[in-house]
Amino acid sequence: MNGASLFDIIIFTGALLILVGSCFVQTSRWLGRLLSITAVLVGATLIVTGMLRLIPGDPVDNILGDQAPQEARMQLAQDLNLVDERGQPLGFIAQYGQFIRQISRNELLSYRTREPVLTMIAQRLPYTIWLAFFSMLFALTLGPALGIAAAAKKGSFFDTLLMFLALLGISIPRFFLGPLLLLALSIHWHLFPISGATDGLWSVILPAISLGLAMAAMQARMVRASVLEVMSEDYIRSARAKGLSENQVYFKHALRNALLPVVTVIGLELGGLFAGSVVTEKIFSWPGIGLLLLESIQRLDMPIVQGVVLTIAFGYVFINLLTDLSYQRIDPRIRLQTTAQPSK
Amino acid sequence: MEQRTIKRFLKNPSSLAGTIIILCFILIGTFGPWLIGDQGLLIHLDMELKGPSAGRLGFAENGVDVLTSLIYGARISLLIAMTSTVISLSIGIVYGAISGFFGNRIDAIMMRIIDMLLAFPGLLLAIYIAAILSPKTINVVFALCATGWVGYARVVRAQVLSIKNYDYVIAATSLGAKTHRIILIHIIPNILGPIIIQASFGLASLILAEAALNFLGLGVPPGTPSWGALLDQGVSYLFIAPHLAIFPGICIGITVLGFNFLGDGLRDVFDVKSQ
Amino acid sequence: MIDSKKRLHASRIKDKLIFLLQLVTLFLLSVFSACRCHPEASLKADNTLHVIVSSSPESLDPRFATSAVASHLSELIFASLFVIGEDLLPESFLAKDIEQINPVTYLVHLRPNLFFHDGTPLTAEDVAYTFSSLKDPDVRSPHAEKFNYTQSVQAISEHTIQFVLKAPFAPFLTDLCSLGIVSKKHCQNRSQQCRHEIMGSGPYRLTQFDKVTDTLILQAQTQWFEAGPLLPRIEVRVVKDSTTRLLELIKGKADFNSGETSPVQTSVVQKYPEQLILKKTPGLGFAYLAMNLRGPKNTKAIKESEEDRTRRALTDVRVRKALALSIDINAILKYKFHGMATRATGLIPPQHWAKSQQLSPLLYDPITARSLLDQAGFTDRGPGKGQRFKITISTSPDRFRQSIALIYAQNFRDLGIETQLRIKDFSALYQDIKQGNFEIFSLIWTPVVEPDLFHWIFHSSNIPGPEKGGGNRGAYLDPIIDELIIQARTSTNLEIRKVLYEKIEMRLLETLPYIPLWFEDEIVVMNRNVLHFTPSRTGSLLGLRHVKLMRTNSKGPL
Repeated sequence: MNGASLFDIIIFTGALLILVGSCFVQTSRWLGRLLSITAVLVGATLIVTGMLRLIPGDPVDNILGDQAPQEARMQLAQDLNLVDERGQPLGFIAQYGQFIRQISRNELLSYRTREPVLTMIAQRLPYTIWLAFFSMLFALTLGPALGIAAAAKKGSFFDTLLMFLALLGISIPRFFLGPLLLLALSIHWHLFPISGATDGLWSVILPAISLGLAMAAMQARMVRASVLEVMSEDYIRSARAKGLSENQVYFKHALRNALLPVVTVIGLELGGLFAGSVVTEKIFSWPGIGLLLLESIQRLDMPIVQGVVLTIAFGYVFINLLTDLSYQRIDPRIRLQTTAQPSK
Repeated sequence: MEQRTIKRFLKNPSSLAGTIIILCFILIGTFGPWLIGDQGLLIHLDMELKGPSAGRLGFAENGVDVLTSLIYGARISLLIAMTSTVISLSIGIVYGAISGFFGNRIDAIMMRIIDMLLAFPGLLLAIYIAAILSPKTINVVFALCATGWVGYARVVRAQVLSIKNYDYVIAATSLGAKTHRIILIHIIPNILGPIIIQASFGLASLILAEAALNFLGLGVPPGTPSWGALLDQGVSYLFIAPHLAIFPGICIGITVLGFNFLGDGLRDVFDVKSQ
Repeated sequence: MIDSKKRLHASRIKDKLIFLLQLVTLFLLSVFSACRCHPEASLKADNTLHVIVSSSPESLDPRFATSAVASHLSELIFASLFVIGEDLLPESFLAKDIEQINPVTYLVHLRPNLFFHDGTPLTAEDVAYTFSSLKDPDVRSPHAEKFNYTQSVQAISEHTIQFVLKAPFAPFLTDLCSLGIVSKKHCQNRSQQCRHEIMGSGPYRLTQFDKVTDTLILQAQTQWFEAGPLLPRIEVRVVKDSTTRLLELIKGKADFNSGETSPVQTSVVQKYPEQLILKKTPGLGFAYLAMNLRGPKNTKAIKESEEDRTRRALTDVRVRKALALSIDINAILKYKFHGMATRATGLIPPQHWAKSQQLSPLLYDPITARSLLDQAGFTDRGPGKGQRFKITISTSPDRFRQSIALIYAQNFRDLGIETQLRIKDFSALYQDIKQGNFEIFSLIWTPVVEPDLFHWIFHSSNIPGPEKGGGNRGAYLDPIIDELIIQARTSTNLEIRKVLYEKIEMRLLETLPYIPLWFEDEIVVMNRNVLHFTPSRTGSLLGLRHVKLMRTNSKGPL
């Protein structure tokens, strides 16, 4: 089987079984949920390894460019498990099996420095988490607040303006917002450090804002819509009928329910933040895994690229699972309805 | 019916604003390069990084004219976004229609594949693919399509699932119409609305994604005028030539805003219709 | 009824909120405990010099350091026998003096009372060990072939080392400046550990090397032979982005930027005249465009491939001259370098002892260039048909280098040559170049101190092959040059050598295997409180040891 050992075949068959099995279970059951999450993770590893073969042309040629020297080609082909130590081409099963074994034993090595990829990622990951956390904090404070305010003044000029700003916030690319903030707040007014992560809390503010603004804008739009929807519900009407003041109705009844949807999207948004941090980290030279990804792409260090891409994907899927579960605890009504499908 | 939709469309401020912005963008992308000529794309070392002056938006690295680059960049953005949308749309419609129409096991398997692709948030998969490929315009389209079709497939599937139980579809099936005829003649025309809305938002995100890839240095080859690449220069010379970051940023922002406006407007227009 | 239901609902929401709060707290805790973001106070009134460099040193052991950053840092930790002086001739350092007994035998006398950082004395044995370990296949040094011309290196007394060469070799003295001495006791039989456990012989001792934050701390060595105090402490930090490097200085978070500063960015320095100072000195890095002279791969093909057409074109001296004439180098020096580079006429830098004043640079002349191409038979076949011929310029992804490559590309296109860029990460590019996989590329030979570099770059024996390396990457083959180079390296008389090098440079300007471009200035941007530093032409950081810091307690402008 083109260089595949028994072990490789077992791994590959296992992966296939999980994939196929997950299509035939109910995702509302615990076991099914677990299986479908595993299937998505297995699928992610299959895509990362398989993409090398799906793309037209020889992957090594594509990455190193034409006319690359023989040793470099050989080294990369070995690192990507496209050939074995003796230079014999490996089939996909062997490639996949080796990849899984290497990454699970932390033996996937950098093409350049020969350091274990996962160790390198673990060193940089805290920075990305730190950045994502603060942008989340920023978005979750600003977004809902603006949404509630806009809903309260529905139809007013203030509402229109806020919603226009929110749309603008979604439309402005992060890689424009970042430089703008830098220009104004760091270069012109010297308020914030320009880049790097060496100033502690102070240095995370600008990257966090530039990463989180789009999410804040999205939250504002969503919360506004959700508040307006809740306000037309029966229990609000009955609360009003009971003679509660408008403020009481608003804060005691409407908000609590209107904010629930915010929780559902946290997972999805956090994934977006991880992916978006690639751009933000580049602008602010923030030493997280996004920058590691870009540096590795530039150095043609594919094992690290694969490692980072997989790390982000895994993190994304897990966070989604977590938010799904916590949302179910908050709102039991949906326990039996949703599936674990993340959506864009 | 058709006319009423158009009327509603024109009355909606959001969709109108979007349409105007996008039309401007398309006009500039199509005819702009002919009008301005490619002289500005050539190197004029003495003008390097000079700031904006009367009628000009300043100069970039090597004295390349920013205005000319932006106009040519509009054409490239437009081309990449349109091509990617057409390809993604075709794949998405076919995939979603099959998945939704046949349902059951086939649907489960096809949706599982989509779930796997969705495990990569945002641009991640496009970045990965672009890293494997060499920087060429056609490869950008490839990278963007690899994930772009998923959104369409999901919309189409959802629509097909709801429509296929309508009486007229069931009637057509029982009359012995062929499957592909039912999908093509009865289902697709009836789900055009949601698809158009999705395409409008999709174009917005494609313009963003294309610019982001170029910004990261993973897009078109160096020397090609592009908004993202210009913005990348802007970040490197933020101290010396801030205009380099601002103008392309505004272009990207406005275009994306245009498509988002259009999408919002269309959603209102079609929502009314469905009620 | 409604009321009780509502209360129930409210209490449930409370539960959920508490649960959410717990979740958030947990997340927060994990983030805080995991994050290494420790705030760094701005520079205190300490006696530490804060230096930024542009890349992480791959090794500090002189036997393994290859990049400029690594070798400059290594020089501070490992002292060599001699150092390059300002006149580009060797000056004594660890060695007191050198005597030449016969054309192939040299005796090097060490200074008395030299010590390694662990306090053990540095003797002739250690010197001999350093040179022999370089050749040891187990050590796997990238410089293993450097001292191939030595027959033997022996310690003949505690302070005297005898070098015997295989043949007379003029550049030997300069080569002695480039290898720091390592401890035999520390390194023998454990070369791989020794590579990581740095224990040196230079003015500074490595006390900390944090690979995650890319920070090195160097302490002055107490038992150092030179009179006069050393700057007590140096902290070296790696900052990869050139704009950020400048900003760190502006913010007062670093004193000294030794990383590459692109000339455009120096205008930023002028905005902070009270705080920053830019010092420059004519550099020794020779920038050039090299062409592949190997000729067509397949000479028997009936229809010549486009690739072979290019390869054939490049072997024609008229084509090479046309390419050279097409580039307006003076404009590049003026607008891209803002005058911070000197026009080159050949490999040997201006003001070098071997530099001839007779040479004049090729001047921008696209009209002659076109007619030269016509004469060579490469007429324009029209756009879309490959025009005259197609050419690919290989370059690294560095923004500044890439922008200059784009200028060449346009100049070539103006001649009617279809030009494209091939961007590759530096190490990949370097591999390509070493193997001869290129059509035309631009790089820098640095530092050009010893003119015998001609042998490495242009002698036919240094054309790299499958089995051996070599610096003649364009495969230039000229018996006249070969002969002249050998004559120059075997003569020890500077006057005779000077005449020979002049002939070599003349010949190279006629045959143009390289298009000579310029020598970039060594630019150092530093804080005004760093006193007594003059940048070295070789880019060496050894001068830092005599630096004085003038610290005030007031904070910077930021």
